[in-house]
Amino acid sequence: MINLTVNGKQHQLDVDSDTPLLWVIRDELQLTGTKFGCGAGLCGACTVHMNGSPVRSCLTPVSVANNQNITTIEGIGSIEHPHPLQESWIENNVPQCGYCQSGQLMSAAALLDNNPSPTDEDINTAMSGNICRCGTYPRIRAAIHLAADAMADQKAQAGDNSNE
Amino acid sequence: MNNSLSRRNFLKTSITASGALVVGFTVPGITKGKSEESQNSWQINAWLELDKNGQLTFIIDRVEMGQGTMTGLTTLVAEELDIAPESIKTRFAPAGTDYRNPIFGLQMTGGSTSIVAAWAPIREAAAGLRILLASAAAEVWQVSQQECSVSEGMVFHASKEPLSWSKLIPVATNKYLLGDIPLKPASEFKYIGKRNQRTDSQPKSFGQADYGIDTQIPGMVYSLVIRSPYVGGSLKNLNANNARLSKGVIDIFPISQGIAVVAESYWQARKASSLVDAEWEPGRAGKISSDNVFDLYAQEMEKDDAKVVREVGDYDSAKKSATTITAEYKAPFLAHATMEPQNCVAHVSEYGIEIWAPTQAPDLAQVAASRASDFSPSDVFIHTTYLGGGFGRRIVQDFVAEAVEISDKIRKPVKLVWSREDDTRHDHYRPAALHRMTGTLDEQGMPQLWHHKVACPTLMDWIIKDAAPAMFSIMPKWSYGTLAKIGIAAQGTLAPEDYSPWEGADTIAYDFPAIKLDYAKVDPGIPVTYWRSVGNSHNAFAIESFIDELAHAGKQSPLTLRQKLLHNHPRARNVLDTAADKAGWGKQPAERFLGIGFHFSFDTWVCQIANVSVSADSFKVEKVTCVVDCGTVVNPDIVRAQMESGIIFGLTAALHGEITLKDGQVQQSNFHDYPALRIHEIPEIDVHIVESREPPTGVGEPGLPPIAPAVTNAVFAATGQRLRNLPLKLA
Ligand code: FES
Ligand code: FES
Repeated sequence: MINLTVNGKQHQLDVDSDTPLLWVIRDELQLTGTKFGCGAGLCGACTVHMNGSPVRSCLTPVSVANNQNITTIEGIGSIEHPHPLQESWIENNVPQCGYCQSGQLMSAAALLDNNPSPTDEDINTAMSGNICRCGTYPRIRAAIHLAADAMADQKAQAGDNSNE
Repeated sequence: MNNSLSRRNFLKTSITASGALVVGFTVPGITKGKSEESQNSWQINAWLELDKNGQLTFIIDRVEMGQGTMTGLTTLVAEELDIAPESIKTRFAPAGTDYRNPIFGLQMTGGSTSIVAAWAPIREAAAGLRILLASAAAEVWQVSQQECSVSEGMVFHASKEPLSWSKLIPVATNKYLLGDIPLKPASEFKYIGKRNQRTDSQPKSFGQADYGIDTQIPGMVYSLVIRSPYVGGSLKNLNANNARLSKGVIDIFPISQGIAVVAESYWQARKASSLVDAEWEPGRAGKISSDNVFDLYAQEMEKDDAKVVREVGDYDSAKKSATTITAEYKAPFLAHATMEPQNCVAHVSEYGIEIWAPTQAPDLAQVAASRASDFSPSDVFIHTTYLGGGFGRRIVQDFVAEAVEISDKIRKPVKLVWSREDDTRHDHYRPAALHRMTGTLDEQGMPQLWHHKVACPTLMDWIIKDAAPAMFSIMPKWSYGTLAKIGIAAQGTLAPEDYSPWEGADTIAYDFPAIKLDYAKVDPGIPVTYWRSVGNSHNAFAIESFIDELAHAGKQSPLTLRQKLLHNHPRARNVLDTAADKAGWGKQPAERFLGIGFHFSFDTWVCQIANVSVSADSFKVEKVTCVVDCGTVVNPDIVRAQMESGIIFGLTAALHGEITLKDGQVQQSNFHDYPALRIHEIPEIDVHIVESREPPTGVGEPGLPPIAPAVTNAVFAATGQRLRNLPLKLA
């Protein structure tokens, strides 16, 4: 038995322990926002967070994720309460075919968690594991900056309010 | 191209069982056996549906693979009905003759044609609904229809309480429209050319867009196919005894493309597949290697029987000019590498076949499913999903045929998923091509002769088995083999000519005194198909590199020579001049070098100027300036996005893209040896759109062809090295 907490929800699963986390998320839990692109850690389409850090779920055996906290694209924001990146993604018309975008968003979210105001260089480093065959990179870069700015503004406002 | 509905017979309305108003069009001669009584067929053959609650649904007959068609077409509907594009629901159309692309006679998305083909008919469909609603309100109010205006889900009149569309459905359904349907004039456009949002951004930013691979249906099992290491190879021996014992395995059996492994889960199928022992035999291409392919091309070119595609002016006298230059260019096979690997869910039952697939051509998928089973195409229902990239790959329906073959055998719904390795090694590739260019210059350095010879396979040969029966859907299934043979033998007469080998080479705008364009057909047996921008992708490389070579040989600036040769083409000239201006041609710093790529494809002009730096033994593309004239623009930001996308896709090919063969086997397998450009490798991209009131032309593909030669020409400017083989590598 494998115990997984995915997007805050606990699951007990009877799956072969060497099954990559990707297929458990997609086929057992039916959270299909996480995508299969290469199965070899080369494209980033399958990126999820394990205890807040980005991992390639296609190369992560589910046994490694046992008792860990997993977040998928379905867990970082909802239409009602979007992640700032999801808002800036829409604002900048980032997705084309959209297939890589869950992975892009998960890598970007992990970046902003650690580095609230990344430079272009920081973005290159954090995002170079994610391939976009449609070439949305210029927009991804712009949208990360936009979300970082929005988050900084929010924080500043929250700071102002708490001073009142 | 005029695809106006006024040439179709008339607009029909009807009410569905659920009380929705449906607006549809019949196209005389193609629509067959559809009765108005049959609610279902009405529903699946219409574009617009207005339900009892006033919700408008637009049924999209093209697929969305990233190119923005869904947004573009919805914007056309919104404009004529004067409602916010966001308020329109969308649904993908199933396979149906009314949904055929009038440009192909097939229900195919490709060739950068969606907006071009829809420009008149979709707007007329929406305008027709607007007129029906206005005339229904006029009848209710007993006023003249001219006094009624339609917008935001309501009909208005100066002295009446507004009426909602939903209330007017019963009256509107009794109305018929005949004759011309007036369209909104461009001066009144509210969304066309102005709107910049995409309608599919939201689902795609929340992981909520369903692609083919996301399909889940009850009772579904999983399958993969073990494939021959040889291109088109076949199975010689199979031993699956150990694999059958592996956990979760349901069945293992040979199919036409290899060995199907079916299991309860994808991972169980994958694990079992590693236990299968198989021996394979090479296919039609034998143990071919890449070098043999180019040798075959060269041999064919030596023969004197090439097809003359275009001949202008006096070849012999132009040939005698002062200087003769020749050059040979090579372009390799390329895989599509769509981000979503090929996949299909098929359910074959005694009643027929249900398919969920990311396909660019639902009617070809019907034929492929039919050929793989005992059913006829009309027994096949296709659910079209979002496509995780297309680029031409999904015009080939091999993944559909395989899933059907497997489901037919086990009689269960099955999800077939290709691995990335399958996808790279068993694609239908962009054909490798060889170009031999000959040019002559007079004493002033002005070109006199332009002789372009191209050798490569044609693409039609590889899809005709599905395309011919889809085009002639009245033909019985037993005739499919004959149809395909006729399709290959009678290209240019009975079957449409496949102009892909010389695409873009026959429409060069440069005014040379003499032009000759020859095509030598060679098919080495490697599966090929359409690949973003198709023939333009290699022809533009040869043409725009060679024009640069002629300029340098004639001691002229590559910009000046192009300007002189385009003096009769003001639209082209404007694109070139604007690009030179925006890129700061001649004003760049000493350590930067510029190169021009200029090409006309899909009726769109694009000029790109690459800005390149060099260090020691490598070069870097720093910036690309892109100017595009694609007529009327429906969504400016999507045009910009498609230019960016075309440039990055084209740069990936120019810098890295190469599928090679050794002993009949493809040598690449995944993104490590068939790499795609990553975020840190992309140049700054600056796109400018020419303002125009001309009809809209293609945007999904024309952004690609100019980039390879633009970079090549910039590298020449920087290093003096003329790179004539793709991908580009410095010596
Ligand atoms: S699918 Fe995991 S990195 Fe590509
Ligand atoms: S949006 Fe298509 S692969 Fe990134």
